[in-house]
Amino acid sequence: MTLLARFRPLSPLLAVALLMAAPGLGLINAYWSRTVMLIAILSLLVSGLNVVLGYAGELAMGQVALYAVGAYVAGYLGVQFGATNVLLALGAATLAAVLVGLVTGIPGLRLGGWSLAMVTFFLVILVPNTIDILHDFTGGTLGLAAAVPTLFGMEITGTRLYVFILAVTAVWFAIARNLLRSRHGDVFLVLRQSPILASTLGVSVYRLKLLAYVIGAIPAALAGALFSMIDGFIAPETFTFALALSVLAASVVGGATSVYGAIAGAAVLQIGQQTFTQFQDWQLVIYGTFLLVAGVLFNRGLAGLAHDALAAARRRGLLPARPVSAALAVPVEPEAELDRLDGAVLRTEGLSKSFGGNAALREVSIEAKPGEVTALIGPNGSGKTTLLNLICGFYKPSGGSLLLDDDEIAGRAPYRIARLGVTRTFQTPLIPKDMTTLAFVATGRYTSHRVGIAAAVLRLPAFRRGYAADTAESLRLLRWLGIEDLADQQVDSLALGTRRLVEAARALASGPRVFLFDEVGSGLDESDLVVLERVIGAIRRAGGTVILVEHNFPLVLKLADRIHVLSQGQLIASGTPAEIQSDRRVLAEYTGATDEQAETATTKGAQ
Amino acid sequence: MTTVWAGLATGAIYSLVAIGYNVVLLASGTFNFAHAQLLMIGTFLAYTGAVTLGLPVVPAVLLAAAGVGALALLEERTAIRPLLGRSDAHGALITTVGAATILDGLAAALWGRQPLTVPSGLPDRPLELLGGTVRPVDLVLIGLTLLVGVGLHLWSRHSLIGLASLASAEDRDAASARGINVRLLGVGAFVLAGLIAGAFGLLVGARTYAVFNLGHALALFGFVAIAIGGAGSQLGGLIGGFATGLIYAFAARYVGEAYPQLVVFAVFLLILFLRPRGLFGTALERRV
Amino acid sequence: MSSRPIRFAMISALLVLPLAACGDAEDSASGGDTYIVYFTGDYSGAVSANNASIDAGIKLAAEELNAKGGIDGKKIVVETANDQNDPTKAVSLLQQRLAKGTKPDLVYPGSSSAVSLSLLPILTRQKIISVGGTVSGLLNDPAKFPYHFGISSPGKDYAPALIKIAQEKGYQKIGMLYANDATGQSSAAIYKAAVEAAGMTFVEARFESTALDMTSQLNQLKAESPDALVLNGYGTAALYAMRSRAQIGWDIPTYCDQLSSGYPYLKNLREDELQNVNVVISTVTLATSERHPGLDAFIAKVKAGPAGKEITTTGWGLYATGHDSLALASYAAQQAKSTDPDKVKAAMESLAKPTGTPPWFYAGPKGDLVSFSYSATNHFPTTSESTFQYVGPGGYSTEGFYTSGKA
Repeated sequence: MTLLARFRPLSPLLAVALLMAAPGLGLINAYWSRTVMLIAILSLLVSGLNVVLGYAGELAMGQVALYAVGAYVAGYLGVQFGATNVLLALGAATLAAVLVGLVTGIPGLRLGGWSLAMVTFFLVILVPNTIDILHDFTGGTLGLAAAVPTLFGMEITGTRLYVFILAVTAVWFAIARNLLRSRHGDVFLVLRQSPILASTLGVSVYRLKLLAYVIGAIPAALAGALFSMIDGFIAPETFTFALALSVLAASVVGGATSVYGAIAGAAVLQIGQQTFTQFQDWQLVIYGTFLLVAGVLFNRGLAGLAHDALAAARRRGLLPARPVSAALAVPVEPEAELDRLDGAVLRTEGLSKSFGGNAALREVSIEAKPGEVTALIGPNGSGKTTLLNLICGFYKPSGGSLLLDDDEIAGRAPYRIARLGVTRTFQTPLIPKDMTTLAFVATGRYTSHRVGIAAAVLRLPAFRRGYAADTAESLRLLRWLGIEDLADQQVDSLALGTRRLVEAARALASGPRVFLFDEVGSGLDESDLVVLERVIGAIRRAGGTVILVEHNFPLVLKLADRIHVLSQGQLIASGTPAEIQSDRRVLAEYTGATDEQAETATTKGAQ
Repeated sequence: MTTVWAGLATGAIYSLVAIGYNVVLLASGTFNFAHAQLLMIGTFLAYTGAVTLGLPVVPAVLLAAAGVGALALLEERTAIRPLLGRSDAHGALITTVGAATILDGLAAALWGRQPLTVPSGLPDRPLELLGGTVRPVDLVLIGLTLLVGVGLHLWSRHSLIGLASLASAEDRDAASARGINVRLLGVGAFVLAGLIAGAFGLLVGARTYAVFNLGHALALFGFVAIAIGGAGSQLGGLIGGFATGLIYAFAARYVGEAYPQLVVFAVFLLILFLRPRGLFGTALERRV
Repeated sequence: MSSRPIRFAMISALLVLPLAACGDAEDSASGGDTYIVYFTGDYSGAVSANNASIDAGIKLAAEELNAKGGIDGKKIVVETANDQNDPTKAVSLLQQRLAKGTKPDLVYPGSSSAVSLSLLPILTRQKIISVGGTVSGLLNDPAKFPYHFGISSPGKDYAPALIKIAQEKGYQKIGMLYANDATGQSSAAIYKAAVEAAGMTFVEARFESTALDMTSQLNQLKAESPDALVLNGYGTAALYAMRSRAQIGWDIPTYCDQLSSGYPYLKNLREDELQNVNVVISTVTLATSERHPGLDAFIAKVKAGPAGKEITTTGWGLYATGHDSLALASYAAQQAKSTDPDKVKAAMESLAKPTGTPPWFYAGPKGDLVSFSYSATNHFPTTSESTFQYVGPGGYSTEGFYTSGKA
């Protein structure tokens, strides 16, 4: 078993090596070696799309344009300057594609929503025009005959080109695997699910999307440079919107949220397209039917299919179960206390917020101290959530100030406030797909215990250490919460109560200073509530600052050190639980509203 | 002025494609890549009705509308319905592309690859109008497209079904919890888009001829229209289509050597910076 | 951790292995008693009708030659591949074919110049003779592609017919409307050079392949007030151009280039929309020209064949392109008394003019309308002043002859 585990990473390498040797050993003929090269190139394009679409959740269609950039840069260098060195070609193509990626990604992502999809769509349909305008460099519509590629004086053609293309593809997939199967990949998945959650983790949504988009540009450029070497001839007819749709189709067929799905999808599409040509008159109908059936049959693509099949085989005991997450170095008692937290004072002074003239919050001044639980209560629409969103930076205040340990933080971007140690949970827990509970909890440490991209891609010791620490800390928290057994389950398969616990663990993982709990008790059963009470109590004892927004009045009375009552955007009372309980005005306002509130709460639940 | 008429007439066709995309997008949140192909089939069915069967204009239009409506229903059944309730959101991107390819291939196999002339039943002589020449069929095409576009816009804003469809586009689960039959709405949108595409087959075909690869160009410009007008807004798609047609016509007339495509892209970028959601886009912007 | 160096060594060994196994694939020999013709073309796209005509012509030539004992005693076998006009696919299919072992003796390299250009490097490497109807000037490069020969006249051979008329009529300025693609641009370059060489002014406008209307482009040209218009484009593009021209009421003398002349305008447009329009036609395909003695029998066989009904769309010329490609290769092999590519190539470059009627149709009964007098520096046919002429638009008769004024 240990021997198997040790040599597991070798099996893909073995496959690549065998494939590389195949033509030399006479295992595959020229047709198949060409098909393999074309599959490799298509899989690079698809892999780039997977990073952007499958992981970061942005529909970018520009792969084909970047592919053209790569092909023409490599072709032009060879023809114009005689720079036929393949490594130089790959490097220059990558550089050019990164530049184009930045130039198009910045406006496309700055504006959010559909604009990246649209900008990149235009990028693709502008390819023929651009090639035409730059015909002095590109040969225009007539095409460009590229020079014979070389490496250290050796001509890279025939079988050598085949080996080279496979090697480049293998290196890229190793990079993609190492990147996507790390916290960076996990945070992409968080981003895909919810940009709000991503910024709560301290991640700049815009920069992370740009990063994903630019990373996705790299394999496309590599593919383009390699393509220019295959036939020695490039023409604008190759870089069409139809190709963009083929790449999209291959991504969906293979499974967009997977690393190796790109290869499977590319192989299916490439071989399919080549085979269907023999149907002549009915070729289009058959190819279309193939796309339709593939889209319907493969939920989450071939990768999803394989994943489900493996899971089924494990359940039936046909395969050994996946190794349980590494055992803990230090066992933790369920009742043990948390490590000391460096709580901060959060203070609002005359904080106001209005939406288009409607005042949602008027002149609210509160103070939350470390080692205390500060509760905000009030009926629906009283401004509690508005206040939370102001603290997190999702809204910009219309007036007043917001201080964290005497530093003004009002108006800062949400991810900056998160990096200062302000974390929160959500009324409806934000839970990503395609991720284990353990990995999700560990994303809480993404910015606070950062491991660089280079370290992740190269699997440097810093990465190994960071990864081990992330896993150990996350497991410790899950065990502390009594849900360690869920560590390897898909986090989006959990029940609501468990999701709230997992969110608390995610919030704790970064070792924050201020906790904001938004309606943390709603929809929980008794046993879950008990655990949550314990969690909040422990944070308080450890010295963290807790702000609790809650409907459940008894729960608030039990947990809070200080209670602020909001009504119609104004603070109507503040005091200890005992003071608030005896405040007649609060009682009138609050209990008078209870019926109505109960009603709205049920309709809300139904929504 | 001839340039304006030419721009409006081609723009009307782009608008029709954009309208078709939007009808489906608004009701079921799906992007139907095959819509331009439905319009293409509409031109062929209009040819079959008017030329092969020798029908008068009205029955030929009805035949094309019914035929394409049925095809759209079939597409919804095979390419969209099986994907409902899936965990991944990208399936429809490829099944509708598949449907589009099938329609291309079927048209080529059934009607051949040579363009066919679709008679509009209107006089063919160009008219002098407002200082430019325009063909009567183009005038009718422009007028009816405006009528349908504005009609759909008003309907989607003011009728119960229209509002229900807006709600369902925003949040399917919430809409269905409120008692909206989301599935029926989705099917209805496909059929409605198909009926419109089919009914316009005769007028569009009279301008473009019936040819099996018509869908490619139309799909591309339909996207451009959506990009400019904003996804999910009927009025946006309508105006985006006309704007695209006009920009192309004027760029081709006056910018000449430089490329209309680039001018359209520049306009798009300008709109993007001034109005990030497109001229009229609102409904589908994800709430954060 | 101690196993790491071992693992590293293993990985290195694995990576070196395939490199060591590298070697250039052996060239495969030609088949023994068959002469293989490999025809690659588009069987499912927009130009598949044209392709079917060429295909039928090749097969008829093979039948005809096989009846006479084949080429150099070998029986001719025709194989086809559907490349969909996609250069990358065409190369894949050719590789697939080459991997089967026996090499084709003759290749018809596709129905677009881009496909031909991507196939020729492989064909050159494998020393396979190719004869094709694609006409890009880049293909006529005997130094680079020594085994490739053109069967059809390059676009530049069509320009003299226009210049002749322009000089007769005293035109000073010629406008041209063309597609912004490879074919359109090369056509424009040819006419520009010819028009300017004749001392006239050349103005131009282009349209995108996706355009649905060309009134804007035509108005732009009209503003320059040229004396005559040259038109490029095929299919719907040609139709849109003609209709837009009629819509803006511009009845300027209009001359179609080689590509757009092949389009059957009368099937889709009215006569008043085609005022002053002329198309350039090979003299040999006119119903009024003298006929090659073998042509009637050939046309009868074409019409009886599977692609027979296309003859009214494409004329008999395209069938002849296919037929003549093989007939020419066979004639050269006969001269060389071998099918060895180097010997055939040498024979081609010093081809003796056939005595009497030539075995190919396109040169006319006397063989003077096109001459295949290839040389070591020119692998394309040469034409004379009477090869092409401008006539009013018409259509092909049921026999495939061009008749002005008849759809």
